[in-house]
Amino acid sequence: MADSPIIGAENKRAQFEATALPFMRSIYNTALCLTRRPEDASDLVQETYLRAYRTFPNFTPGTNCKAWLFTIMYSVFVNKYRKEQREPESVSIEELEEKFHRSVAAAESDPYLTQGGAMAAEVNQALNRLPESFRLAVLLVDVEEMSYEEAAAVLNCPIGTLRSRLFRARKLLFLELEPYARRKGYS
Amino acid sequence: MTTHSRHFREEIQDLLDNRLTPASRVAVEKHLESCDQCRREFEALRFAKQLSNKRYVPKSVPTKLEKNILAALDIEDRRSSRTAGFSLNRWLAQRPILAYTFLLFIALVLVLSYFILRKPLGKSPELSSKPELPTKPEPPSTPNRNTKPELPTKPELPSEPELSSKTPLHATPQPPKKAKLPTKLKTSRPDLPSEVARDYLNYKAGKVPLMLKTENVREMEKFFSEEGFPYQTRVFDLGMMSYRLLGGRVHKLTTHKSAFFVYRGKGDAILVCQMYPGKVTELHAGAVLRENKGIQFYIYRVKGLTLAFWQEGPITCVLTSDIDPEQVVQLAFAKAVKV
Repeated sequence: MADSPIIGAENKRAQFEATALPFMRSIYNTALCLTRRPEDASDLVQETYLRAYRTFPNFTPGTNCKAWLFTIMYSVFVNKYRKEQREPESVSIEELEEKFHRSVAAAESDPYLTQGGAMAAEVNQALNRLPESFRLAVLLVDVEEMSYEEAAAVLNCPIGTLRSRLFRARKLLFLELEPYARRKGYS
Repeated sequence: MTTHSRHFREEIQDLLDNRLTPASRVAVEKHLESCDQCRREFEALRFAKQLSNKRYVPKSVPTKLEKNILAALDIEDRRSSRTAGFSLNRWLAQRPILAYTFLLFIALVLVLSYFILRKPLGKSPELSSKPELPTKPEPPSTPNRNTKPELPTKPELPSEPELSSKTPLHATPQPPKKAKLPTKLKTSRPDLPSEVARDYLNYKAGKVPLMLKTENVREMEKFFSEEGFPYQTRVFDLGMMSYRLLGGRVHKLTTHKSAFFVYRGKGDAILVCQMYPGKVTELHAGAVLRENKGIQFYIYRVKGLTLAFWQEGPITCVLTSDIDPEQVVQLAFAKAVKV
């Protein structure tokens, strides 16, 4: 009978630290975006790593560890923290579309320039103002550079849902940031 | 501006995220060349994507978070090494058919052993509960003449110590077997947080009297010293935090001799401190770990109470109260000393 690769105790710890700990910054920042409070984010990350460690023998080496950690974190967040969070106000899709098209049509030039070291704070603030589901889509796909499939798996939603959340999130970000960028002379 | 009968919407985003087939890509790109509106939308989305990708500045991880995670993993390692036998479960979990066969086998063994052991134990259930029976050679005849027929049916099992103290009287090997399992389970992993919480509630209910009532911290320390505590009990002065010492007692926390002292704060808030020789590693998993001044604190919530454990040399200290959890933690932070 072929033995499945059960990791020994010492090996498990060493492998886990080498495989999972390097993603702590990504996990922490997404946790921070989700919970909005550093203490809650720390608790969420700690819980995520503890659960990941317990189930590490089930993790297949060579697969995407970051996506696996994000999946655990999102599950912990949904079950433990989200109830305490206030849901952001919903976004009117029609209003968003209308504003977006108006703004795009009124823009004086294109393409928009995104070079330069400025705007970091504005981007962070604009991201934090996005509704949770939109914010997560942007964080996973644009910041963490996950594929649609990986991000959809983390959020446990269909790919089509992820695509439309991303589409709207980017439009909202554009509406938030384009006027600022133009004022500062970046576009 | 060129007008088009059809604009690309979702395809624009798919182009941006490189999710189009080569043929679709060519079609969309061709369209963008001639459609001002779609091109502007594409650039707008690209602007948003690039900003998130390049301008989002991640915050650095708090230094104590990594330490806390490693400490939590240490505890998890210790916990799993204590329950190393459970690796069999994991092994079985990966082989469901074997697992079912194994469980069936265990059930069969249990059933068989029940019937096998039952015969010699036909007398021993009474034996274990009634020590006088072995001295009587004819058990069937005695109950009929016995003036107290309820005695044989009345079990004397509730306390395990009783059982084990009686077992040497009997030659049959079964009673020790029966007595061993529960006592082992009880003593191997005492649920210290629950015990501490129970002590706190018992004190508040007036069931745990103080042996010395004093507001004087030194007097309290002297009391513990005279009571033979093998370590210097550091009774906290919490006057600055508006907590007044009420007194203390020599207490027993599971198997540990514990210095138990009580404070009263504003609004009759009660704070109990216990100090006992032991290691925080005896605590079960489930604590929230906090760190302050290089000391690890193990925070539990039990029955609406907050318990903050920490280690001071060979002593484990625990503060317990039903006040705001963060206040308990902060009091522990304020008074803990790294040894």
